[in-house]
Amino acid sequence: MLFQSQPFILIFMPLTLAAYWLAVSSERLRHYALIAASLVFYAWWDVRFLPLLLAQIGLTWLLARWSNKGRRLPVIVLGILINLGSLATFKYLDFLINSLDAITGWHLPRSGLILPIGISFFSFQLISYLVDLRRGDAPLYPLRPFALFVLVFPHLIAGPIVRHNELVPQFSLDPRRPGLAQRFAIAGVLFTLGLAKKVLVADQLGPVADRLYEKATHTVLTFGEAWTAALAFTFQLFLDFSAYTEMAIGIALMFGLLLPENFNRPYLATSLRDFWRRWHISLSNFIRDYLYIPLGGSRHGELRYVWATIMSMAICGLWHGAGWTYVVWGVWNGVGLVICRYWQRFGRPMPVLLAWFVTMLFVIVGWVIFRAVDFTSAGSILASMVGANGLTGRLEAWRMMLVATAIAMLIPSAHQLKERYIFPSVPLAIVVAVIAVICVLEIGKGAPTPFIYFQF
Amino acid sequence: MLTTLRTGLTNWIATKRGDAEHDAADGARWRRFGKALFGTFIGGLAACAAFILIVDPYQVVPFSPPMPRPNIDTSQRHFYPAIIRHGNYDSIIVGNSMIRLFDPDRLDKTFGSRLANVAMNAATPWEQMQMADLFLRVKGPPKVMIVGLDHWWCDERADQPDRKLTIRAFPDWMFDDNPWNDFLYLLNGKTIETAARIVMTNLGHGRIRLQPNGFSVYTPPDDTYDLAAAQQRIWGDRPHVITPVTPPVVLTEAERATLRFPAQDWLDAILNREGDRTRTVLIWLPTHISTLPAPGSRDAAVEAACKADMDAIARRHQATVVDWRIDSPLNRNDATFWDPYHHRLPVAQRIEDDLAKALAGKDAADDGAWTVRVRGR
Repeated sequence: MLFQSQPFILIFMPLTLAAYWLAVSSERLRHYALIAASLVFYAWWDVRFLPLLLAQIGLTWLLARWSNKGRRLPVIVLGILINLGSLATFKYLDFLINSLDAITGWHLPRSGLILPIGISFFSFQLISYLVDLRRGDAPLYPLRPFALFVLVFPHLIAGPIVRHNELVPQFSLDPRRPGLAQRFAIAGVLFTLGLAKKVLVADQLGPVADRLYEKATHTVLTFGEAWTAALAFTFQLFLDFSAYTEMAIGIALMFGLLLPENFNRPYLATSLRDFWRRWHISLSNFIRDYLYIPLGGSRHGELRYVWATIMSMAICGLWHGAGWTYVVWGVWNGVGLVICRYWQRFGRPMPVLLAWFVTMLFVIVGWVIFRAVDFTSAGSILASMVGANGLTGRLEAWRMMLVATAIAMLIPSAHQLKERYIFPSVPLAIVVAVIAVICVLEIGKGAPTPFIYFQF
Repeated sequence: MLTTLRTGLTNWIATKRGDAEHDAADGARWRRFGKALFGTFIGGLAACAAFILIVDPYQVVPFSPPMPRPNIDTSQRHFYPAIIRHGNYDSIIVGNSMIRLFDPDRLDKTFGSRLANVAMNAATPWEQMQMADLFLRVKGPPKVMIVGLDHWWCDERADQPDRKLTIRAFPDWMFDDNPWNDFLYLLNGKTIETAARIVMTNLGHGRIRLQPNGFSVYTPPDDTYDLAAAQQRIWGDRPHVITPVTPPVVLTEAERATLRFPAQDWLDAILNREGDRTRTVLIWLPTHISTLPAPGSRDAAVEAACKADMDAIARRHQATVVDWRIDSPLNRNDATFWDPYHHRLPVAQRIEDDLAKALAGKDAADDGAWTVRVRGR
């Protein structure tokens, strides 16, 4: 079920809220209400996915308990391997077979397994819990809050990636605690903001990018088309994913839960390191804590630092999708981060505008590699962007891109909006409500467009 | 200046929030905010829903009050199911825009029928057969069914998802037998706009676009026809010549055996359900010579095989097949068409008149514009 669909907004959410708030006085009952709703939410896509999700949660929890009775390390490693194995099987098996075929010339049979939605997100959360358990940073939770930590539907499919210690303690807080009206009102505004960004802007840019990236697979794009493709996807991806996050944070807030921040105006970044502190923050933190630092981080010499950075980002790329373009996108960013670090050490900062321009150029080139279906079309688009095929054509959909630019530059992060910018004004509430009505009427026109990150 | 503005705005908001915190003990201002937000949202949506259910632009709501509901929109896929369900018609014309200029009133004189023209712009064969299927389920076998045929009926991939539907939304929910699931699809801006236009039209401020029997002249007035512009649309910058392929391609038996035309199976199934009383006329519609497969080409051989298969279906069901999709002076004449596929209104009227002659026993046009391939009941 998609957040930006009428069944979700008009049926699922009212029923779930009603069940939750009817059961609010009992911690146990309201948890069960939320677990049940989350299972329905997940099964809506394909009920066949449900056993895998439940099995991963159940096994991880059992192994965590078992590890407490001795043989801590092997049991935890087994738990991590089970989760990694599930991810590898469902997401990467056919990718591996394809790559083997390409290298060896074999024709191995494909598994044909369908990708369970959200598997990258919930597998990572379970792994992070086991690692924290090993580090002594995580307690053993009872099954109910543990299951709820993974299942709670606002973040289940595409994050933000939540760590257990950010969420589980909130489950025992009374949702009726002071500030209820404020939380609910802000939740409505954040959800509407995300809905409007997704439906009114991102989904308008999506077809432009889709058409041109498809065209690039068989035709050389003009200069104007190549830049349109690159910029349309650059904005679409940010608006789509940040919209999802705002909606997720808004929905969670209606249940009294605060999800972590995920975007903080990343296209204002003036360096690539700054960009990764603002873009998909929960993933960046995860990569830092569970990949980059274990791989050596920056405290074991320069070579180790370069290796840790590039390797972490390559895995980050692979996490996004089972394809070599994603890996190269990761490496591209890894190399960029290394260069950025040494430039900053060099102590000759660029003028802010130039730094922003260089950063954005780097990011946009990265998104072309990320979005293109193969290296040939990525190379073709990049060649057209530098004028290798002439300087013809014009920038399409530029009005929508201007709107997207304004949103990307001006709208603060969800947490900043919550903490500082949304204020209790009745006219503001009415404007937001009218936008919400317009969006609901817009999404009723046809099948909603899934969020880009749902495929990861 | 930007910094000043930003600081000013932040301070103003901080003041507002400070006020809110001041009386946060009872959260009164946030409660008012929440009430305004959720109240306006729920109220706004409820008002929209009520408006849609009352005006009921597509005539799908079982309890909507009686009122005139003119066809004000060109979205035939949404308006035509109501013509079939609620109109007093015993016969139908199905097809795409190439047959939309067929006037049911003129054809009724030939057939003694009450025809509705429910041909839809860019309709695929699958969509056309959904319309025929709806008629059969709702009204039973039609007295007359006219099907407009074009190259899509020879598409070997017609049953693939990307060929069954177009980018135009096909409201399959309107075509099923359950009126109650329709509510899931009505709450949207398009329906509100359509409902508003119906209200405006009823108040005398709108334009009725489709006659009650579905017919409309969608082409510009014929006296504005511009041959040079039409030729540009037809030929573009290509030379105005048709080059035959030599030597002509002849399909082997094996190649012929592998050809399949899935759309014809759907038509076969519909004709099977019609029974003995329906008079079925299948018309290969005129199209500009430049859109026909080049003579002697493999595509031409495939199309010949497709037409032969269609003839076989027609014979099985005693349907008549009239072929205007041929190399003829009419199709070679640029002035017949607005663009490569769409003929002009006088041509449609000629087809209507000639159809009467064909059904009366004439086998071919004097000028070679058509032939009767199969003569049915």
